[in-house]
Amino acid sequence: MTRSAGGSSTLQTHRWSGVPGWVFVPAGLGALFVVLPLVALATRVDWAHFGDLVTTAASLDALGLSLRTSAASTLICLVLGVPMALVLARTSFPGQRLARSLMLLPLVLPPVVGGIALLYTFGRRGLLGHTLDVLGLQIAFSTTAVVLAQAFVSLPFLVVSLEGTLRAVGQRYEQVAATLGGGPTLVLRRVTLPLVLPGLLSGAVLAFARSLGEFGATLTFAGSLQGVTRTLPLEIYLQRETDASTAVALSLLLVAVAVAVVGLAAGRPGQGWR
Amino acid sequence: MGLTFSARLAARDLDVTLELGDHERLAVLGPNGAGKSTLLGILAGTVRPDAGHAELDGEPLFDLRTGRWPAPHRRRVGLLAQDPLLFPHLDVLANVAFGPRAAGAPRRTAEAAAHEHLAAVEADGLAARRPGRLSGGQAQRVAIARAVATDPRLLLLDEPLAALDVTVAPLVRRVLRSVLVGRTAVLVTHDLLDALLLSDRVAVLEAGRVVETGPTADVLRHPRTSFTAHLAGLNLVLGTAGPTGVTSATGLHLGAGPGGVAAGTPAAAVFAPNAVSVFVDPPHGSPRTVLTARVGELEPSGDEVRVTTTTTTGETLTASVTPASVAELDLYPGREVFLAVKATAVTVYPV
Repeated sequence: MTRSAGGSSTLQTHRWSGVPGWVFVPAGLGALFVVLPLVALATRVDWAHFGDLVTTAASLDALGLSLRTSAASTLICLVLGVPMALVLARTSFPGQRLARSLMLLPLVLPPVVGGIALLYTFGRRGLLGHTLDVLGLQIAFSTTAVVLAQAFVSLPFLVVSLEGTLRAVGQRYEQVAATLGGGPTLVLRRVTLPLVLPGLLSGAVLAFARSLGEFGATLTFAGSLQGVTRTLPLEIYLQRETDASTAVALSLLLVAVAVAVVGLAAGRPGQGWR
Repeated sequence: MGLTFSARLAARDLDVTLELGDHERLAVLGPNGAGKSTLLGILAGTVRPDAGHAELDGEPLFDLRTGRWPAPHRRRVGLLAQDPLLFPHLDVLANVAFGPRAAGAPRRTAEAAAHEHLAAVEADGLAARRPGRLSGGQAQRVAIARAVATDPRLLLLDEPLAALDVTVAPLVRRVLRSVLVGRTAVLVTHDLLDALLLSDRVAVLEAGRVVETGPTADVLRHPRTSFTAHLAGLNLVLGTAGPTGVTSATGLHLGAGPGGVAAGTPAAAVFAPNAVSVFVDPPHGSPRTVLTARVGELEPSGDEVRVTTTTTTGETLTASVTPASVAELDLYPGREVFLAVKATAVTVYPV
């Protein structure tokens, strides 16, 4: 696995794949299944008024809010998720399997349920409601609630992605760094994190994308207030009732943003080291 | 001074005591799974034994009697593995400067030191390269520079040449030999040449115990275990000394000179494969031992062919013959042969 440029791509076309021919049929169908709805969406766009539709005050408010809250939620995922992945991948403690399952729960939980759970935690009459009240903090139905809802559903994506990369990279480099006199924090900063950077980035992109698309938990926990909690998916859902063409245009905009984010991450040159 | 080490780890069935003089280099030999890597892990601080203590240069390295078990980065014990494990995201210079930087040296000082260490392994020209663009031999030389750049009190070498191409191993071995001068080191190896060129003493580990130890040349000349004999390329028969030679527990009698071993005491008889002659018909004449054996394997070794045989008493003996004799005698695996060993070619010593 050297980084000799070019060589690998020409080899790939001639390389024996070992994949049975019939596999291409369901694989192609699967690809179609994903792409066709996006094409259908594009055909329904009122291109003549696309610009106007996506630049109304409500639309711009929603887009701006979505980008800001998703960025904040990704940041929270990084700050909390990196240490979680480290603890899960590098240490062992009793109940670790259970802990991992619990951490991944938001992945399989219906977002509405997540929203209700958050409400009963941070809401006025929630578990921490009184404490927050004393501190003068009102979280439910605020922009903060949007960010919390997004972080709640996105965190597992980052943790899973990073934990896998950490395990794949292994501890041998860290061990060598320690014998060179590197303390744990120095080794984390100068060896571990650079080595898992590809996994960290893809985890962050997944978390951002998941935050961008968050709907159920947001609606339940944060409500739908223009400019405060009404993110792009909520705006689309609202417009769909009254103004289908705006909903379609905004949907396409959301697709474009998501594609841009994912493309940005996948298109990085020199993925991985060596 | 030097290293004293004693550790026990039930989970790996390891119970080892070692002593090493100042600036001495110990080669640890032994079959796979004997506990060699565990031993290095304990010294490096990555594997914690159940009990044990070690002193390095008069200072405690660890002492589980008092619960002292420093983390790897606080030991100043360097490690060089089979795989160079250069940090792929750092260039060669930054890799070598990593240790000095971790010790708190300013960047310029650390980089100057790194250049010096790279020059010592004849790799200063590679300073700006990424590890991905180095050959195996270059990468291992850089790894050597990186390991000694921290000036470790003890250097651990885990089969440092095993992954290298035979064409580059000699250069790396020479570099390693010069770098090891004046250092206390523990070298795990499977290679006779590495043990001979890189170590002063050897310890042979089998099933987690030291079964043989001493100056490298002595141990290899007078092996006491079949593992060491095999490594040294010698035939070894362990048994009891008698007036006319050594008799093994299985009843194999090997004629030999007296060798100064009292009759009835445990003794080892050692002889080189080229002291063994192979016949297809029972030989007659000069005073020598004749044994019946079956050919196991034939393997080229330099200009000769090594014939591994199993005697009727179950001993494995190796004979070295010319390719011409292999053809002439029509040797093949499974063939029954007669082995003759000249008494004068057998060395006997007490064990």
